[in-house]
Amino acid sequence: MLEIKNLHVSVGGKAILKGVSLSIGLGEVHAIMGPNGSGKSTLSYVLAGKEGYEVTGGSVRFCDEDLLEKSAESRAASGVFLSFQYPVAIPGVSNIYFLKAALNAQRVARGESELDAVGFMKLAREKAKLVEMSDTLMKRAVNDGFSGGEKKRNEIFQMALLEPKLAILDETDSGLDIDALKTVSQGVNALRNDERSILLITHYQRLLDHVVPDFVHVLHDGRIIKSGDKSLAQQLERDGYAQLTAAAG
Amino acid sequence: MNHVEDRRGANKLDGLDRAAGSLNGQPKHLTVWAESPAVESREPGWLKEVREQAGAALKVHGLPTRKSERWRLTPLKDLFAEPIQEAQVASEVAVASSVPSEQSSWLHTVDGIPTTASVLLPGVRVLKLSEALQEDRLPPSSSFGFGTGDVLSSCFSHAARREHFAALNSARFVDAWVVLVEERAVLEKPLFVQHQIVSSRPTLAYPRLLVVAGASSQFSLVETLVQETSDASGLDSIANSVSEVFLGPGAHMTHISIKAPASQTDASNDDRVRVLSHISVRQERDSKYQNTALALGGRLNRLDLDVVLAGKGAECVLKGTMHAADGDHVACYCEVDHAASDCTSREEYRSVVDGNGHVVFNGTARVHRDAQRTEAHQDNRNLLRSDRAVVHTKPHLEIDADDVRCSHGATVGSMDDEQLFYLRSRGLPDDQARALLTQAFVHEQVEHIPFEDVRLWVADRMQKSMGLMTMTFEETS
Repeated sequence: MLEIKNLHVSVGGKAILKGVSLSIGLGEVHAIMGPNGSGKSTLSYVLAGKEGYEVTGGSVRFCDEDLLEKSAESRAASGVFLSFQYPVAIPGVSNIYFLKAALNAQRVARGESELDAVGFMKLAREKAKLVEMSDTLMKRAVNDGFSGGEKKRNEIFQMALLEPKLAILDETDSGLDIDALKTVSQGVNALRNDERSILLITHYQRLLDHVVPDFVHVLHDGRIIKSGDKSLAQQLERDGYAQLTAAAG
Repeated sequence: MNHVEDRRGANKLDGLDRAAGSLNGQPKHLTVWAESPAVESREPGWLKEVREQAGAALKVHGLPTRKSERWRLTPLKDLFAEPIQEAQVASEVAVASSVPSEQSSWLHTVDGIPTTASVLLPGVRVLKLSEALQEDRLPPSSSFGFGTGDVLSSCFSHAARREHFAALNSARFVDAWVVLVEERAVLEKPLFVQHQIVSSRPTLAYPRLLVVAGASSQFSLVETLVQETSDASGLDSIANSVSEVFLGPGAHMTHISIKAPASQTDASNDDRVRVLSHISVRQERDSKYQNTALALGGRLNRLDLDVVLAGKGAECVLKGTMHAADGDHVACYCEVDHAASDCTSREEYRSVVDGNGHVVFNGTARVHRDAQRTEAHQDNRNLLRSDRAVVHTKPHLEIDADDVRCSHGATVGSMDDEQLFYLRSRGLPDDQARALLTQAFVHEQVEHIPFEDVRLWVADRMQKSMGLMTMTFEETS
């Protein structure tokens, strides 16, 4: 479903990703772990289509299409979702209005019919239960004045509504206390199915206790230096990154 | 900076530009008009005086030039490039009503001249100045809380600016609408004053309005100049309007003004109506004035808004929204005079600028020495949607009192890339994402409008101007 081959990416002339290759199959959950500055967030932004990232080599195919030549919005419509590490606040735009516009834009792009207000609200309330989003939170301005936990719940709520084929969760555990982490993880687990692939990007192992990955990769200095199963995450938690990264040079 | 020339003094000419001596360099017909104020024999002495003083002021100062600080950014060069005529008689054209509600009370001007009115609200009298002058039984000005004598001579032209285009209006206007709101009257529906330029020849129109509100009255008034571009009316015309408002003690007024001289997208923006509008307000104690001004497009669309807080405890909130598209010049000069103590003023202006559009915001709050415990705030924010867009912003405070709370600030910026990417990453196409962010930027400017049909209608005009047609404001936060 997602095929990253030898991906090289620069930001402002500086090479950040230096040949990342990764293959994610349908319904698989992969975790990418790595120390700060290893290129984790760059990888998530490049996949989601943020401007300012220069692809200098390699390819990314998603559902047998060239992902890199698509705009951010058409990537979303084709089923890519990024849960932001730092969700952006948009004062003056209600969450629910924004999501209705977004979902309908995706549906239109896919040649489906738009949902009306009633149909949309029904769907939204149903999905809100997954992450305990209150009506008030749904209707407030997008992430405006939200706590860290509320922002991350909102991200997973959006994921539930937009039903992506590939969800990239960038540091979804950062800034969460243990209760919020549980709520968010339960939401993610509920959205896990055979048709949906998930890429977890995280610094720490603790999210992976709740959302158990099928594969774990270690990113260091723009390259994946080691891949394994969930036990790799436990090994990293125990030994730290230093041992691995030293070996990788 | 030269602020002296901008001050209104009682019946006094500053004489700063006296060296100019005449209307040198101004179109010849303006010279003629200035020298012959449109005095009619049956007009009373006080009105003749108003006209003659205005004519004299014009003779001395002429029309502004770009040498004047207050006018240096205004594109005046081509204003009278084409021969232009004054509107003398209202055209016999059926005017398409643009008001949102069937039951509304409305007043029309056509090419600046009052035509018909339908006002069924108790507590308000609406009549033409020419009719009012014949009336024996107009309430005295004291019943509105303004001095002694009759209400017309006590108020008419006492608030308006006395120079330049406002003086031209005073010297040459044909007739005016007079709106008298009774003491303690609460008008349940807004009054709509619709100005329309319908002449097919280049016309100089002088819409004129006087509003006097008695103590503790409450009402809303919506002034519109919205040109639909389906026909050729208003080409190369100028609407030079003056509206004066007097609020008695404790009166509350919501004043919405919409100037959309080139509404809809139009290829030949060049020859659309140019708008020079003046709103002058005088507030007595504890009165409250809420102005919402929308200046949407136009090759020249300028508002001069002046508020004098004359009585203790008066409050004004001035909210403006400007939109300039390619080729447009949209400007707002607002000035609040804190002449009494314990008054509050807020100026909140936002603009959206596209193409090579040009927006000017010039806000002044002047706090007199005795105006202690004044609160005055100015906030101007500008959203540039193009690399070629230009904004001049100058929030400005002049404070002579010592016990005041004042603030002023301005921001100019483009779309936030992080917000844009967030919206697009959820599937919103770039143009929709930009429209949504623009909407978020301006929606607060109209959400306080008290009547829902008016609010929706105003939002709709704004959305059309800014290309936000797909959205409704009710769905935003």
